[in-house]
Amino acid sequence: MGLAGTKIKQRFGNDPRNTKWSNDTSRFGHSYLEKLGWKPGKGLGLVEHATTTHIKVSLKDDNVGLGAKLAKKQKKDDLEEGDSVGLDVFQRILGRLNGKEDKINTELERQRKEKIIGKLGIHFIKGEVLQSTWDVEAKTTVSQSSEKEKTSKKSKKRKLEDDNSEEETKSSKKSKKDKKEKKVKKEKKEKKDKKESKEKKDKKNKKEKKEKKDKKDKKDKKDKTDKIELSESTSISRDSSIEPVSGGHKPISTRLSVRAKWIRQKRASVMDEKALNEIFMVTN
Amino acid sequence: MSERALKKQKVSEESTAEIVAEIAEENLRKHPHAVENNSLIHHDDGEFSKFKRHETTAEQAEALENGHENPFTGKPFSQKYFSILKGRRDLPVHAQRAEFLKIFQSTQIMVFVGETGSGKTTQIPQFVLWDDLPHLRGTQVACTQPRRVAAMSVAARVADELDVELGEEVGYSIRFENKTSNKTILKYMTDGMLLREAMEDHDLKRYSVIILDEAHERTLATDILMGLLKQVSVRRPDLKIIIMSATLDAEKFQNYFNDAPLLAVPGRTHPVEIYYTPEFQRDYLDAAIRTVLQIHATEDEGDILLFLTGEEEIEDACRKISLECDELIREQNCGPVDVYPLYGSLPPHQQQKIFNPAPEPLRPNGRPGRKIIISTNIAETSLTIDGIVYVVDPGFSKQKVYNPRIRVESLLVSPISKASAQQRAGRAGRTRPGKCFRLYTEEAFKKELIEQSYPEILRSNLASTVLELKKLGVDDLVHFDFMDPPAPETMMRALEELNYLQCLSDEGDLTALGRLSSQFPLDPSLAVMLIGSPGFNCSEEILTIVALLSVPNVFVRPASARKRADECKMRFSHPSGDHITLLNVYDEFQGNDAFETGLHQWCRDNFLSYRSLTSAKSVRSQLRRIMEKFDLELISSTNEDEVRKALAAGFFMQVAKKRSGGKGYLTIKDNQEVLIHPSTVLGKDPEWVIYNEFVLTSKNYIRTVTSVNPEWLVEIAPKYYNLEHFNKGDVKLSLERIIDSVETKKKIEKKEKKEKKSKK
Repeated sequence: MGLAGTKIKQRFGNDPRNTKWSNDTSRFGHSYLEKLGWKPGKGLGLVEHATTTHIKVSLKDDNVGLGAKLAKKQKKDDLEEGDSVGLDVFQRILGRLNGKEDKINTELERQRKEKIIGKLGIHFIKGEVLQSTWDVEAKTTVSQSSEKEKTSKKSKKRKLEDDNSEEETKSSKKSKKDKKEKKVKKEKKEKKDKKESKEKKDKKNKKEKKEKKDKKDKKDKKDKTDKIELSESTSISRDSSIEPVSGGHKPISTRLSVRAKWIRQKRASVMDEKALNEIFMVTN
Repeated sequence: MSERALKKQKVSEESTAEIVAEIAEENLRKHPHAVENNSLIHHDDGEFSKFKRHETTAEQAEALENGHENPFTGKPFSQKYFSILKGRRDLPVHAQRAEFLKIFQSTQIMVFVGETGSGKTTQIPQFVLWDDLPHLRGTQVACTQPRRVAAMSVAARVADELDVELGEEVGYSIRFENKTSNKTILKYMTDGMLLREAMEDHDLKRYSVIILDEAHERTLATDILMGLLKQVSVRRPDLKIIIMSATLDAEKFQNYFNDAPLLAVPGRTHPVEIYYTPEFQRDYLDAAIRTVLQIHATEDEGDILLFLTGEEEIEDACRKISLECDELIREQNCGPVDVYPLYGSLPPHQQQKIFNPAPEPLRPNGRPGRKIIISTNIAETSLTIDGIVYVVDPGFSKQKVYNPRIRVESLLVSPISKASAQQRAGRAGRTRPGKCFRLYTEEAFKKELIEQSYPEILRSNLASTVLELKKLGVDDLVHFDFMDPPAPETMMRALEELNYLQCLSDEGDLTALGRLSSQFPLDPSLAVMLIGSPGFNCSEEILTIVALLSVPNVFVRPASARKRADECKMRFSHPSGDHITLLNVYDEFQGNDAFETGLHQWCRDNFLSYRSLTSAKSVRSQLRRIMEKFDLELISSTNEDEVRKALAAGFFMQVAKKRSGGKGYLTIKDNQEVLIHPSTVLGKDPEWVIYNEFVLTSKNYIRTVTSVNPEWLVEIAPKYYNLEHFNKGDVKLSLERIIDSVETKKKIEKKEKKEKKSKK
């Protein structure tokens, strides 16, 4: 909070947690429970998960939504990655030029709707699908078995949804896998190129080294792909916006080809009426 | 009176309430109540002669169900019966009737899981009836519900389904109403009522089957009942128990009941797509309103349900959404909307409005109309509204928490649990596939929400629960098999409060006062206050005050007319504080003036809640009956000091003293800094006050406050005001002074008495 933030003065009493009461072991309640066999620091009852303290809730006196704390933690990362606010518009055009007309149309429909509600619009990301466990046609339970399999603390409901969402996103996952593979390939290729251009060593040596390196790389990649998966899952499932057209889709060997593609796209965008309108913010 | 006076001298240590309770108990022993004749009479014309109890099959029962005569009454089935029967056969539970019977017959305790819409609450008790045949053995089947409304409405529905009169074969029993007869074989009741019955009959002998419904809600009473039934099931092998739950965390129930077998029946719900926001919302209220408007402008037909936390927030959102929607309709040609608020303290006729159909399109072939309901979490489980397709969930609700250290039970806005979020989402799929918009990120859902909501037993003051447990014959509170044991400190607080109130002796045994207090469906301190009130000659007044304290706030303060409402309140005000002000309100409510104007109109004119006042009236008459039952004197006094003394006898643990030289008050013993809530009628700040509740917000407030004379406190509860237990400081110093003056007064009185005697 900056200097302009409202100053909230909070006063605490001498003993806001009343430790005086809690530390006094001569109280009736304390001695009575001890008489019955309770030991300080232990829970009551016969189960192991018994709580030893009361539920603590922090006071909420603002309207900040859920997840604000998480966002604070991540702020650092966000800055490093850089904001991608302005990029969306351009990506849309690129998307169309890459032959994703259908998606563009749905996107335009969305924009039209957004125009209706103006600044009110809120974006949402599609998550899992909550489904009934009842199969209407077969008149049977859909996933009784999964419940028996379940051993973790996870409630069955959650698990069910996970299953469902897995099915739902199977297609998108497939594409994810494809991408991963492609990315791996691409990286390999790049490395090869570099190696070839830099040094000329014995092939045997190279192979050995390469294998070693690959192992290392794989480890690295694993971490990387994990990260990638996270970010991708959001961008792919983004209902409203379009998949970003990154260079990762097709193996590109040199910087030149990237540049060439860039120019191609630019040229195409000049040819495309819709895209031009969009660039010049002409609305129809 | 002379007897009482004698006793008073004998045991000067005991409080007035204790003495009254002892006398009442003694009287009861001398003149016991006539035993009510509640033996059961059931119809039996041999319809079930072919049935062998606990060996029946689904086919047998269905054959009788399809017959022409009702085997439970001997009367022919009506036309309506058959049309309902057809619908019942389509319910998901029906497909598993045979499977249910197999498990039911083979085991003593079973767990039954059925999602909402499976029909479990209405059908399972009936399946049980056809197999357990309680009418042939003079027993009953009980089915508990956490809410009174549910018990009533389900009983009515099942009475229709069985083609019997409500209150005869099928009845219900709730706190203020018992609609059962000696013909009743199936009894829907609140879990609290079954607990009360268990207090009188530890083995619940009149029941052959007990069904605990909605166990997943984990109310305080259900939790205690589960612990109790676990014990009873050992003593009574013939008793069958079914635990019914709507969520799929049934494993916990199974484990608790020694791996009881489980039967899961699915619900009839449609898929619900869940949407998250890409990042957190800076203002969830604003985001919620925008989302609702966005849905209205862009999504297909279907009603919207928005969850918010409290009355104020809901009314505010209602206004804003109505305004914005008007604009949308004017400018963007959107369909018409009806916006309805929904929260507990809303009058029933307004609650009913949520069932109105959505508005018609403005023009033929125009965009369809939509109904928008903005609700607290009562729409999460208690109320089912068909037609909801879109749910907007900001992820918060008001939840009760209890802090035993500073003794505050407060309603705070906090994040809901994952289970709760799923329940909310499920509301969108009742009639057709729906969508749920969560105003938080998927990450927040995964990381910030707890799995399950905390059961009530972990969130409440346990004073009345401990009293109930004691009355239920549970002496070892440490080793009682709680499903989720409460925090030790919470238990200690409860024990100590009961000890100070003299409901528990220093050995931890129930006293006469404790036994009598447990008869009142009240917080122990209120019960003790009521029992002791005849000693202060003002039981009628205390009865009124207690009744008013047990209902929602009687004062209405609409945002549009705050000032006028406050002025009206001041008309009833009494200089000594809010409790007596409440008394004034009730007296005028019962007065001629109000009667002549018409009670509804009078309440509206005076900014009072008609609903709260009428329910206070019925609470009062119920409490009055209990008092009569135990021969507690009903006396009315015009002396306002006596009323305040009687109040102090119940509230001596809820006292605050003005801080010397500082602003605000300090609570006695717990030393918490508090302010008197602005809603008080008190003009100036008295030195010592009693309060009804301690409210935790950004500032700590005490609400419903009355000034008292500290000397009374010291006299009434010498044990609580034992100076050894006080910290050095302002409070202790003034208490020392007060105790000194009280003692010198006593000495003088004694001297005077002696002198009088010697003169005689």
